[in-house]
Amino acid sequence: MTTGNANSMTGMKTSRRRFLAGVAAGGLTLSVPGLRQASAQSTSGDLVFWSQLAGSKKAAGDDLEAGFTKAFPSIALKSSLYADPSQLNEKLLTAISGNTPPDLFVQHWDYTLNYGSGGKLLAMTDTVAAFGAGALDEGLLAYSSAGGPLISVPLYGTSRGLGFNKALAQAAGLDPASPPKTWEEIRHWAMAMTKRTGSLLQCAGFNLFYNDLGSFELFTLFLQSAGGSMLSDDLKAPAFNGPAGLKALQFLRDLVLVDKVTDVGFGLGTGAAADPFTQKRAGLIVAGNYNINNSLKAGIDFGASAVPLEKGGGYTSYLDPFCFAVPAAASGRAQALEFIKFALSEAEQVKFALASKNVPALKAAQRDPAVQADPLLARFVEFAKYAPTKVPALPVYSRIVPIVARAVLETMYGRKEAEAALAQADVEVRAVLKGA
Amino acid sequence: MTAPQPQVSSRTHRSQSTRNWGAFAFLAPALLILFLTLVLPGLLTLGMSVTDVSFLRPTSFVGAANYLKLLSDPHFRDAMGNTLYYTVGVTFPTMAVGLLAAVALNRNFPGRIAFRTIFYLPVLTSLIAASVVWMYIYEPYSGLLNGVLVKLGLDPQPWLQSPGLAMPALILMAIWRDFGTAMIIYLAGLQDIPKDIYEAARLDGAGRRDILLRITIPMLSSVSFYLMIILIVQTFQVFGAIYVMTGGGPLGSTSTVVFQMYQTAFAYADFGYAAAMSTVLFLCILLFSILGTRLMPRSRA
Repeated sequence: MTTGNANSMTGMKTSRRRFLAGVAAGGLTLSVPGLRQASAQSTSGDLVFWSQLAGSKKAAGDDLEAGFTKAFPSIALKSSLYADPSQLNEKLLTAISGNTPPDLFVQHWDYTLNYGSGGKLLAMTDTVAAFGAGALDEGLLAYSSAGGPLISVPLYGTSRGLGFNKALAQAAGLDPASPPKTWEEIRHWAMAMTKRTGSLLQCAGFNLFYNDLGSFELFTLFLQSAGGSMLSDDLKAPAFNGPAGLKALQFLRDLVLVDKVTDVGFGLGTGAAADPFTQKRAGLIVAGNYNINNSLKAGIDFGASAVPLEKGGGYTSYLDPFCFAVPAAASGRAQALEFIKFALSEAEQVKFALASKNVPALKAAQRDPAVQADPLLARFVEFAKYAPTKVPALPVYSRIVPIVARAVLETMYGRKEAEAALAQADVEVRAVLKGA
Repeated sequence: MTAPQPQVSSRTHRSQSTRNWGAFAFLAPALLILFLTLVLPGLLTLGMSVTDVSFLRPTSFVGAANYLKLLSDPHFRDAMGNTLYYTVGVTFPTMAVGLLAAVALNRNFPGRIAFRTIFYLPVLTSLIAASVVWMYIYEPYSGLLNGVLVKLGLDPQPWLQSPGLAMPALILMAIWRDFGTAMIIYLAGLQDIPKDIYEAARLDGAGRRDILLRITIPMLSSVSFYLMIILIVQTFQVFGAIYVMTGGGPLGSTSTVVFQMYQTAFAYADFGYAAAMSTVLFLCILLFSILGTRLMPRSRA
């Protein structure tokens, strides 16, 4: 199959030229304040923008686009909204293979790294540098590169903590102002909030069954909490199959099968209809920023606390950035860079964060009084700081997720012992990393 | 007397040849569309299956590596098993229920048209809409099905949350949705059975059960064969309901070959491997169809 190689080589040459031109234009417009104003008037043309700013982010995305259209009347914004990252991924893969990509898109970081692994995205190193050193959250930015140049710019991120229904906690005799600070306290809370009528579960004390990504995140959090990590420091081998991983998985298994804080498979399913927390049928959950808007919409008095380390004395978290990226074949690069610059201005970042309740990428926006005054948003901004600094930014990350999730679910379903499930996942993840 | 014969023969040949070209001309648009939409994508898929094409990175020829990987892939084996389970679970019960409905509605009684329409309605319903409704029916805590079970004094079941129940739940929904098609095809077949055969059987003292088993079902064997093939082809390719209702879970218990193909291609951008899966699926469907045609003469006999 030499065709692919030949095309790729041609594409590389073209993309380098375009890349240099784009970076030069982007760098200039971002770094020189005078030019910044001028570019707002001079940049014109179409900007085809695809995003997954739906659901809890819909209003924030609409505001952002409306603000951009108003600020840049000479740029015709043509935006398409996709329901979730996987749907956008299908569209992007089709467009990239057909050489009809948009000028700009916002996508989950692991998909973006995958597109970037084949040189299909414009390098963003200079664009990011133009914001100034340390302007963007390093934790979020770490997911924009798989060792090479930066190929994306984070718009926002979501962090993870423990979410709880304050009313259910109070009804169970717990103090929402003093959330769990150790695993034992988590167990106590989960057991206290579990409600059954006979054998029928009315309310899960801790909702532990999620889709693959949710199960993966659940395990990752407790793994880190027990002092472990998903991958080795050089990201070349799995590291979850050790004492910390075993302890974490055993704890989750015991919550389900011994403490019976939920039923096997409770809440598992597709779509929001399957979410027991918004139906007031779950006391505790692993929560992300999206749970804020969803819970408020469902009329839940939502509380959030950081995921504690096993014995207390500290916290952990998990970051999930969503990033801007510009395809190498995009024709509207200048317009795309204008949009990125606009969306990452402090004012827009604050507005976006307040409406979507997500962690803004710009550190100045994270510190903004308005963001800090929003109690739930401020908590999740704080949780982001507990995430490990070494991140598993690998293009094959999306392949690791279902493997680990399978091990977690098989253990919690009682189909495998934790040790055997982790050993099996270790073999499979090792094979994926070897082939990467 | 023999002289004119070659002229007649030549004229006939010419006329046949003209007729053939005319037939080809009429068939050409359909053949072109079939070539572009079936043959060409099929050949491209076959070509992709021997590469590591991702559309993101340069493509390399990998020979039979994807097929060899399939042989040792436990998840693909599970998906193949799930697909066969679903195919057998849907095809034969759908045919049986469809046949019973057709036989019942082939009689003259008031309201039979209404019943035919009602039974056929699920076929006309959007698959996605039907799947969402069935998700609510299967909801473990407030769903209709468990509501009925509780009223009957039975324990509610986690229909879509249990690895042992999720596939039967999907099969049940598929039967509900497809038996209308089987019913309509069987009804058409029933109209073709001569009435005098039934009259002769009755005169010979045959009961309803004998008539059904010894006349109706054998006389519908070609219809049954056709129906079986289309149901096998259709169920082998199940995707929509699984995508909406279970996402292949729990624990991969409803992950079929097409669902895994979709995941491999779009979630992991491994189009070469997905193409190999697709080729294997095509061969399986072909094998079942050939087996069916081979078995057919015997069933007719």
